[in-house]
Amino acid sequence: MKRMKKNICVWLLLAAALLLCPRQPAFAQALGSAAGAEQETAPSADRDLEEVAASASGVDGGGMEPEDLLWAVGVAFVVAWAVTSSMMRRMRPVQTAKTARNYIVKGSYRLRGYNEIFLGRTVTKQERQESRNHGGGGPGGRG
Amino acid sequence: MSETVSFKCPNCGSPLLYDAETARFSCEYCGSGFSLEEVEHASANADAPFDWGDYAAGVSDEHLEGLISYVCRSCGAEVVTDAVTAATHCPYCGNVMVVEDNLSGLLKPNGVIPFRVDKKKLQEIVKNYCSGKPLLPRNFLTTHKIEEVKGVYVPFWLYNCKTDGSMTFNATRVRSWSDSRYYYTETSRYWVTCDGEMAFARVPADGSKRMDDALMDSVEPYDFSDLQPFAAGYLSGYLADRFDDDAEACLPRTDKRVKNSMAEAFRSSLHGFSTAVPVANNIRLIEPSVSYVLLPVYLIRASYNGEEYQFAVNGQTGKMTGNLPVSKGKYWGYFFGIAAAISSLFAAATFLM
Repeated sequence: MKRMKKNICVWLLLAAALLLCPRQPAFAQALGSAAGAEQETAPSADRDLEEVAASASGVDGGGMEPEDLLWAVGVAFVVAWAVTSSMMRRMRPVQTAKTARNYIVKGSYRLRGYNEIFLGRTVTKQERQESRNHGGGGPGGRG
Repeated sequence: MSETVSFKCPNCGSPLLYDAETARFSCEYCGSGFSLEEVEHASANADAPFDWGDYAAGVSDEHLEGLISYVCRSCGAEVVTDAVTAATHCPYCGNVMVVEDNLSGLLKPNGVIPFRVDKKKLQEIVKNYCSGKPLLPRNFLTTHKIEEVKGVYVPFWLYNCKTDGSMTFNATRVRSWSDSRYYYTETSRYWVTCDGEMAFARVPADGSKRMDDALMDSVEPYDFSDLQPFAAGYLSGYLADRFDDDAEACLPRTDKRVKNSMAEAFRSSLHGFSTAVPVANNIRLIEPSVSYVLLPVYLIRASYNGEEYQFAVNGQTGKMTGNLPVSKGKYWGYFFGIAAAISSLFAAATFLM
C-alpha cells in the first residue's frame, strides 16, 4: 500500500510536469537553454519566461477553454493508463527469463577491443520564439 | 516394475519425512528424529522386502505406454505413475517412495538443494505475496480455494559456459546550444564495435516438460552454495521428477539468455552516447558443460471463480510467483479515479492561473 501511494505520487508529479510543459512549448526550451546554454544569460532566460507566460494562449486569468479541457482529459487518460499498466504488471509477474545476469562469474567480463568510427555530423537549427515575430524561421540547415 | 526406496522409522516403522527446517528426518507417529546417515544405516539393515513373485509381475500393465507401476513397500499396494516421476506418495498409506530407476545411472542427479522453506510457512508467504496488490479481487484471499500444494524436486540443468564475440552499434552523440536567434542541435553518428568475452556459472534451465518454463524462470535465483551431493533421503516427504527434456534440448534457452547478457555488457561499455542501436552481433557460446540437479519448488494450484491459478514458491528462498486474478471493477475504478484526479488538478491549476 505504501509503495502504491509512492507510485501514485510520482505519477501525479509527472502529470503536473506534463501539464505545464506542453502548454507552453518554449517554457521547456527556455529552461533547457538557461541550464545548458553557452551564450545565454540568466536575466534573458527570465525575460523569455515572462514573455512566454504572457503570450500563452487560452489562459485568461481563470477561464478554461474546450480545447484545454480535451487536452487535459487526454493527458489524464494516458497517465491513468500508465499507472494501471504498472499495477497490472505486478499481477502478472510470470515471464521467461531474458538474461542470465545473476550467473555472470564476477570479474569475467573482458572487453578485448573497442572501436569508434566517426560517420558524420548533422546540425539542425530552430529559430527562437521571440524572433518569430520578426519574420523568417523554421528548422533547417546542415553543416 | 520399478524399484522404490522409502524410509521407515527405525523405532516404529512409520514413514519418515524430511524436515526442511532442521534438515533431519522425523517420524510423525512416534516423534523420533534421525540424521541422513542414521536413516541410511537403518535402511541398509532393514529386512528384505516381501517378494510378490509372479503375482506382482502379472498385475503390471506394461502395455500402458509412459506409465510405470511399482509396489509400495509399506502396504504392498500397486501404484501406477508416469515414467518421469522420481518420488511420490503411496495413495493408500501415504508412504513416501523414491523410484530408484529414475535416479540412478545417467538419471542420477549430481546434486540437490534441500527444501529450506517449511510447508507451514507457505500460508504466510501466500499472504505476503497477495498484499500490496491493489487490483486483486477483495475476496480472493478469503474465498480462493487451494486445490493442491506439492513440494516437488524439479529437475534442472545447470550450464557453465563462456561467451565470446563482438557486437556493432549505430550510435549518436547529441549536443545542443543556442545563440540570440537560433537553437542548434548537433547529431554526430558513429559506428562502434566491441569485442570481448564473459563467463557464466550454473545457469539453470528446467528439464521437465510438464513444468511451465516461465514459471520456473520466475522463481529464480537459487543460492547454489547450498547445493548438496545427491542423496535419495532428501526426497523423502516430497515429490520428484526426472528430466524428460535433455540437456541438448534445453541449451537454446540458456544460449539466448547468456547472449543477451553479453549484449547488455557490450551496451554498458558504450559511454557518452545519446543512442546506441545494435546492428549486428557475432556472440558465440563456447565450452559449455552441464550438471544435473534437483531444485526445490512448491507448486500451489488454487481456484477462484471457476478458474485455476498456478503458483510456484522457491523451496529454498521462499520467493513466490504466479499470475493473480484481476478485479475488473478495481481496474476501471483506478483508471477513471486517476484520470479524474489529474483532470481536476489541471482544472484547478488553470483556474488559479
